[in-house]
Amino acid sequence: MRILRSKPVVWLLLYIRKRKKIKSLLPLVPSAVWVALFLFVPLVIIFLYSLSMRGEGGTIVASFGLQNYKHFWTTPIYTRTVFKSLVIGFEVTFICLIVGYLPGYFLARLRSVRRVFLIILLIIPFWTSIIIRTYSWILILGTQGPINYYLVKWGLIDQPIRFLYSEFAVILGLVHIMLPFMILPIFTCIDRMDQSLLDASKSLGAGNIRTFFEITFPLSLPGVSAGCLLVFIISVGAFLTPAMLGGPKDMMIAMLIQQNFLMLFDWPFGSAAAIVYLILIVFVVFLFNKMVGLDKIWLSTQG
Amino acid sequence: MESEGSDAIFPRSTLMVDVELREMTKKFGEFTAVKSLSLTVEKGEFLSLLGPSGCGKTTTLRVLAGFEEPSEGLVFIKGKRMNDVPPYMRNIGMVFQNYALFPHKTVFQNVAYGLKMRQVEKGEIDRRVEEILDMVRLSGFGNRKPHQLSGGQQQRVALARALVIRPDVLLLDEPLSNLDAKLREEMRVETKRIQKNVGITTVYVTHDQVEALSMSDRIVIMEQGAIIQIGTPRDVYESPWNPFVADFMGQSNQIEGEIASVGDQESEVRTQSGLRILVKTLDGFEKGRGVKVFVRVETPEIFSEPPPDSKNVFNGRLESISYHGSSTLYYMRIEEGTRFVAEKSRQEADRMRVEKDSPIWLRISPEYCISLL
Repeated sequence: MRILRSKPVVWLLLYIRKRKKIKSLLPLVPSAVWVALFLFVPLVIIFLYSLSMRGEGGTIVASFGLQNYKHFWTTPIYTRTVFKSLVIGFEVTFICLIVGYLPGYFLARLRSVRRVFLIILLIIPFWTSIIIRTYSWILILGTQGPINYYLVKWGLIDQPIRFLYSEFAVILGLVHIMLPFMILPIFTCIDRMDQSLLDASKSLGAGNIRTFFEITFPLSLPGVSAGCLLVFIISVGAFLTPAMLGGPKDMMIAMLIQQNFLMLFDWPFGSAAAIVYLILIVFVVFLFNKMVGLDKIWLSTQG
Repeated sequence: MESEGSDAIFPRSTLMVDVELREMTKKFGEFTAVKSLSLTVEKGEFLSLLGPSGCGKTTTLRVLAGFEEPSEGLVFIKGKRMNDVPPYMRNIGMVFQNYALFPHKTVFQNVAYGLKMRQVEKGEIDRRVEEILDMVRLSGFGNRKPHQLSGGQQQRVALARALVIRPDVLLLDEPLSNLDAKLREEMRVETKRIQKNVGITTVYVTHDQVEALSMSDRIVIMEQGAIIQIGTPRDVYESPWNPFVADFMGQSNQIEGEIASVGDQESEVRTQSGLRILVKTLDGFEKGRGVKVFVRVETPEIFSEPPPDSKNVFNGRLESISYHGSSTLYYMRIEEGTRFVAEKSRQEADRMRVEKDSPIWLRISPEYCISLL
C-alpha cells in the first residue's frame, strides 16, 4: 500500500482524475495490453522476418531488404494465388448474399417459437468443427458418394463426376460454412427495423413488393454490408476448406503461407506473404469503409 | 372493388358520413379487443377515440386503416365497403405515434412517397409537396433527413406526408405523445389548425383527455373494447353518462350515498357518514336510491371565513396545499370526516391566503354536482 501513497503515484492518480478523457479510457487498458502483446508485437516480429533471408536449413539470416516482396510479386504463381483468393472470396460472398438474404428476411418476419427454432438450427453447425463439416462434403461429393451414386443409378450420367478437388467444391464448402455469417447480420438488421415504417408505406399506397424495394431493402443494406464484409474477409483467408476440397490449382493465400512456414521452412518468405495478405485485407476494409461506411454498420447494430 | 351486395347494405348512411363502422368486432385469438362497435364520422369532423391503454382505440384505428381485418362487422369509408380492401388501396392518411418517417429518405422524398406510389407526374409532385410543406411551415426543409429534425418538425412532416395524398380520411395514432409538454400544447393548436384548413375527416386516437377535449368535435370514450359515451367535449366532460366517464375525465371528488329527499329542483343526498349534500334533481330520483355524486375539483368555492349563503356549505380544516404554479390544489377534511380536493387558479389562490390546518369553508353549487344513479 505504501507505493500507492508515494509521490509519483499520487501525482499520476491526481492527473488522471483531472483529465476526464484519460479516465474514460482507463477501462480499455486490459484489452489494449492484450492486443499490444499478442497482436501488435507478433506482427512486428513477422514484419522483421519478412525483411530477412532464409539461411541454410531453414534458419533466418537477419537483413533488411525487400527481396522477399520482390520475389512474391515477380513470381506468377504467387500473384495468381493472391488473385485466386480474392476471386474465391468474391464468389463466396456473392453466392452467400443471394442464398442468405431471403432466409434472413423471413427469419426476421417470423415470430415466436418457430423463429427461435430456426435460429438454433442456424447456430448448431458452429458446435461442429470445420474439419468435420468439410470432411462430410468429401463423403457427399466423392465419386462413391450419394450424389454420384444416384446420378448413375437414374441413368443421368454414365461415369461418376469428379466434383471434389475443384474450385466448385471449395466454393460449395465455403458457402456452407459462411452462410450463417451472412444470414445473421441481415436478420438482425431487418428485425430491428421499425414495423410501423412498413405500415406507413402501405398506408401511402405501396403494396408489399414496392414496400420491400422502397423501404425494407434499403434499410437492410447495413446488414448486407456487414454480412458481405465478414464473409469476404473470412473466406479470402480460408485455409482448411481449400486445403481439403481444392485441387492443386485452387491454392489460396493461407495455404501458401502455411506451406512456406511448415513445409519449406522459409519463414522470411512466408512472413512476406502474410504481410502482403494483411495489407490486401486492410485495403479492402478501407475501400469498404470509403464506399459504405463502417459506422453505418455499427449504427445498424445499435438499432 | 365494390360489389353489388355492399351497395345494397349501405342505404342507411347519409352522404355526410365519411367513415362508418357497423358492429365491428376484432378478436386476437381468445382475446376480444373490440366488441361490436358501431360508429360514424361525418365529413370534415374531428373525432377522438379516448380511453385508457388497452381499451381498443388503437385496434379500432388499425381496422380503419386496414392493418387489421375485423373479425365481424363492416367498415365503410366514403360509402365503400372496405373490409377486404388492403391498406394501400384505401386512400387513407395515417400519422403514427413514432411518426414512422423513412430514415433513408429526405423530407421531400418522405412527403412525395405517396404521390410517387400514385404515379403522379413529377412537376405535380414538386408543386404539391412544396405546397403542403408550406402549410406545415417547413418549406426549405425538403433536403433534410428526418434525424436532422426536432420532434415537432418530424411530427409535421408525418402530417404533411399523410395529407399530401388528399386522403379520404386522416387517422392519427397518439401523434403528440412523444413530444414534451410545451411542444405538445403548440402542436395541438397547429394540428387542429391544419386539419381545419384542409377540412379533412379525422379520427384521432389518444389517451390524453386534454388533447381530446381541446381538439375534437366529438369524443368517443372507450373502455374494454366498447363505446361508453359519444358526445361533444362539453357533453362528456359536464354530463358523463356513467361513473367510468366521470372518473376518467378530469379530477373529481367522489361521494357515495343515498337520496334522502327529492325536491322539484334539488334533492338531498346523504352519505353513510352523515354528510348531506344538495344536488340537481334528475329523472329517476326516488327516496332511498343509491347515488354517486362527482364534484369536479375546479367547481367548489372555498372561503377562509363563513360565506353569507349557507346552502351546501361545509366547514372543515385544510390538510395540505399542493402548489402547481398556474393553479393550487387544496386538500381538506370537511364535516363527518369526508376528504375533499379543490383546485383554484393562481388569482383566487393569491386572494385566499390560507395555511395548512386553518379552518376553511367550502361551497358546492348543486349545478356542479354530477349525480349518477
